[in-house]
Amino acid sequence: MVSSGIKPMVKPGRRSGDVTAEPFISVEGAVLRRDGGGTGPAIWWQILGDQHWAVLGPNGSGKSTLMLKIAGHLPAEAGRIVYHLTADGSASRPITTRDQVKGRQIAYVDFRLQRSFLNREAPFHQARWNSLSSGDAPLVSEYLSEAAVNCANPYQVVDTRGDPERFQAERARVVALLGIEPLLDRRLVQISSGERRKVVMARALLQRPRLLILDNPFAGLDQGFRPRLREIIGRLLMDEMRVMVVATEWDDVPAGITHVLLLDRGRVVAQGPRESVLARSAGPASPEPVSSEQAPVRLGPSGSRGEARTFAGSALVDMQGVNVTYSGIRILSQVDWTVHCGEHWAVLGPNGAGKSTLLSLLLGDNPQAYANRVTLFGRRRGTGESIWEVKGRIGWAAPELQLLTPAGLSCREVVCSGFFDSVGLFRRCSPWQQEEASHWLERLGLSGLAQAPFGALSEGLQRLVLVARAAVKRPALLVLDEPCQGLDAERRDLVLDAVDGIGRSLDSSIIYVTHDPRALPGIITHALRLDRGQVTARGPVNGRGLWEWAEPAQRAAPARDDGCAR
Amino acid sequence: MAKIDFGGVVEEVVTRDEFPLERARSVLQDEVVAVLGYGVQGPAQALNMRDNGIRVIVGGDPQRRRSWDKAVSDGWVPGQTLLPWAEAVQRGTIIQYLVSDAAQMILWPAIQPLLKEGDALFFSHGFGLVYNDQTGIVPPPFVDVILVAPKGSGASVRANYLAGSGINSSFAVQQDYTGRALERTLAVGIAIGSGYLFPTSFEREVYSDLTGERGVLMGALAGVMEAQYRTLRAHGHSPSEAFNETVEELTQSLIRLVDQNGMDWMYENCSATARRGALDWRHRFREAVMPVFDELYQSVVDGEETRIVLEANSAPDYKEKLDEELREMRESEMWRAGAAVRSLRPDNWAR
Repeated sequence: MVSSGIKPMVKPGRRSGDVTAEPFISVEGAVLRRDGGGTGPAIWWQILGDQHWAVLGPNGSGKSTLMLKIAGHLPAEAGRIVYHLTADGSASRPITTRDQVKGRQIAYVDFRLQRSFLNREAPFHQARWNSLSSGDAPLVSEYLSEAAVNCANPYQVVDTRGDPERFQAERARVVALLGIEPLLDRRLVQISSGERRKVVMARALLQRPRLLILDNPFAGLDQGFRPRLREIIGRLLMDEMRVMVVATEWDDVPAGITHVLLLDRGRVVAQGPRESVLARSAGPASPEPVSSEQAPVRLGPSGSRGEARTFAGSALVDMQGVNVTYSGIRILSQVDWTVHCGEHWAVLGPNGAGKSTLLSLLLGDNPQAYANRVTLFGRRRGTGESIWEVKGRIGWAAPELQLLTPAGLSCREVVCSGFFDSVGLFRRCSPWQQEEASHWLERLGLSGLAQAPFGALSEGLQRLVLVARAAVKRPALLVLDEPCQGLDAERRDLVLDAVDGIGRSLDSSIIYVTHDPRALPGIITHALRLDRGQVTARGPVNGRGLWEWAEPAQRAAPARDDGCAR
Repeated sequence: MAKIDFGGVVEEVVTRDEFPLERARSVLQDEVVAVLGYGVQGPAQALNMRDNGIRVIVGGDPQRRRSWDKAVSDGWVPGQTLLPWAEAVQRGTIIQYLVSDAAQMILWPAIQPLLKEGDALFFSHGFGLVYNDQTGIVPPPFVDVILVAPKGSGASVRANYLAGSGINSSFAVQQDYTGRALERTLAVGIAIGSGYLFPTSFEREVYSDLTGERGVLMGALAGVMEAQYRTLRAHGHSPSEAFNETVEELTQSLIRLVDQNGMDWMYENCSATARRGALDWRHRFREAVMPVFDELYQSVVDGEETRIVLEANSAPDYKEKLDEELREMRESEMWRAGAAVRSLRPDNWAR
C-alpha cells in the first residue's frame, strides 16, 4: 500500500470492531497549507483498526496541521475526514463532523496546546517567578481531576455520574507511570516545561481516548525519561487505544509502530508499512534541501563584533551560594557558577532540575536574583542596574517565549523584537535593524518567510525564528534553552552551525540547555550539571565526551552520530 | 510634553520618549522609594521600579504573614529591603502609600509623624487626600504630595512592563515643597512602567475614577444588564436566550469591535436592522440615564460615596457582608445562567 494515489475507500457503515482490519479513520482528499502560502495536493489516507501509524516529516511538512484536522481542531478545508472509530462494536454510522469527535475520542498532545492555558494563567513568561500571578493558578492535581480530565460540564444535567473510585485508581496508575507524583501539589505555571509535558500527557491518557496523538513526544524530555516513554508507548500500542506518533526523525519512531505516513511540504511522499517506507526514504526524512544561504556570520555595520570584546577575560556571570525557594520548595540550592567571557557552557540535567530557574536569574527574569549574590557583566544585581541593561547584553530563546510570542507578528518583526527584548514589537525598527533581521532569517533557512505571520509557521520553524531573534543584536551572551527541541536533523544542524558561528565570529559566550545529545553545538567548552537544584558536576569538557561526562547515568543511552560528535 | 488632539480638544501627554528611563533614574538616583502595601498595585510598582534600577524598599507588617511571605518570594530581603512600616517610612524619601483606601485612613496617624522634610508622599489614587475631612490625611507642608495612577490592575502593570510595552497613567502634583515635585512624579511614573502619562489633579482623578466605576464600568453595566434580562424573562424568554442576548453577545463579540475601531465600527458591522434600532434607542437611553449620572457625580463630589465606602470597609464584618452581596449576585438566576453559557463556549470544550 505504498502509494500516494487514490485508493478505493472501504464502504463505511459496517460493524467496526476493535483491533481488526476494519477502517478506523479515513482522510479523503484533505489538503494542507504550506508555510509561506499555497496548498499541497489532496491527501488520501486510510488507517485500519489493526495498524499503528507514525507521521514523519521535516519541520513545516504539515504533520501537525494534519493531526489538528484529524483531532477536529482545524477544518478539513477540502475533502473530508471520516471516523469509524467506535470501540464497542455496535453498528454505528461513521462520523464526519469534527465536533462530534473533538475531544471525546481523540486526544492530541502537542507542545503548543499549552499556549491556551499559559495565556490565561501566565500571561508573561516570567510569571513562574512572580508572586503576582501565581496565587490562584490551578494546581497540577486540579488539572488532573476527574472533572477537568473529562472536561465535564458542571452544568450538564446527567443521570449517572462517573465512577470516582475507578478514576482515582486509574489516576494513581498514570501518575506513577509518568513519575509525576511530586508535581501534584505544585502549580501548573510553576513547574518546568519538561514536567508540564508529562502532566499534559497524563491528562490525555486519563481521557481514555480511542486515538491518542503524540506530537513529538520525546522533545523536551530528559534522557532518563525517554526510554521510559518508549516503554509506555509500547505498552499503549498493545492496548485497545490507538496511538499515533508524530516525529521528525526515524529515531523517534517507537518499535511498535507498524505504518508510516511520510510528509513533505504538504504532500504525501510515501505511506505504508514501516519497512517499505523506510526503504523508500533514504536516511533522514528530508528529501527537499533546506534553502539556507549558509552565509558566514556577518560582522556589524562597522565591522563590529558586537559587545562581547568589552568583557574579554572577565566574568560575565558569577553566582555564589544561590538559593531559590518557592512555597517551601527549594528549587536551587547553594549554586556556585562563574561563566567567563569566551567560555561556552552546556547546562544539563533532568526535567525539573532547576535549569530554567538558574537561567532566569541571569536573564533578569527572577526577582529572587535581588536576594542572592548574582553578578552579571561585572555588576552585582540590585545595585542600580535595570533589567533592560542586563537583557540588552543577552540574546535568549526558549520554548516559553515561543508560546507567548504574538501569532500575528511577521517573522521579521519577531526577530526585530530581539533588539528591544520585548515580547511583541512596540517600537519602530531602523532599516539597518530590518536588514539584520533578514540576514538572520536567511542564515537559518527562513528567507522566504520574513513576511509570514509567526503563528502560521510550524513549531519547528517558529523555534528557528526565535534563534534568529536571540542572535540579531550580536549579544555578549547568548542563552539558548533547548533551541533544537522538535527540529528535524537538517534544521538542527542549521541551528548548531549558527551557534558555533556566533560563538566563533562574534566572540559571544554561549549558555546552552539541552536534553538531547544530538543537539549539542561543537563549540561547547564547559558544562554544568544540575540535579534537584544542586550542582552535581561543573567544569571544562572536551566536545566529544561531553555527554558522557555530563550525564554519567545515561552512558548506556545510544549516542547519535549526526550531531553530538561534531 | 506632546500635544495630542483628543476629539478636537488638545491635551498634553508625557511619553517615555520625552522622559526616558535614563532621565528617571538620574532624577531618582539619590532617592529611596518606600512602597507601603504589598497587595495589588504595591508589588507591581515595586518590582518594576527595582527592575528599572531604582532603589526600592518595601514596608509591611511582619505579623501579616501572607503578604510578608509574598514579598520574600519576590526577592525582598527582610531587614534590608523588606521592613516594618515605620522603618520603611524613616528610610524612604519617596513614600508610596499603596495600601487600601480604608487602611490609608487607619495607618495615617502612625505614618504622618515619621515624614521628613523634603520627602514625597506618593499616591496612586486621590481618595485619601481629597476626602481628608473624612480620612484625616492632611500631609505636613514640608513634603511634596504627588500622584501617579496607572490605568490598569497591578497584574497588567507588571505584565506589560515585562513584555516591554507599558501602561498609561495619569499624574498630578498637589503640593510642591521641594521644587522638584513634578520631575519626581514623572520619574516615578516612568519607573513604574508607564508608557505615557497624562496630567490630572487629585480631585479630577478621584472624581472620574469613582464616577466611572459606579457608572459604565461596573455599576451601570450590571444594572442595565439586569434590567434587560428581567424584561426578557418576564416575557417568557428562556434564561439561556436572555443571557445570550444581554451579556454573552456583548462580551464575546461586539465589545471587541468597539475596542478595535470604535462604536461606529461596531454598528457598521451589525445588521441593518440592529443598526437602525440601536441608532434610535441610544438617544432614549442617554436621556433616561443622564439624571442618574448627574446624581452620581454630585454624590461623588459631596463625599457621600467615600463616606459610604469608609464606613462599610472599616466595619468589623466588612468581609462577611461583601461576600454575602457577591454571593447574591453569583447565585442569581442570571449569573448562574451565565456560568452555564460560558461552560458551553467552544473554547471551553474538551480538547
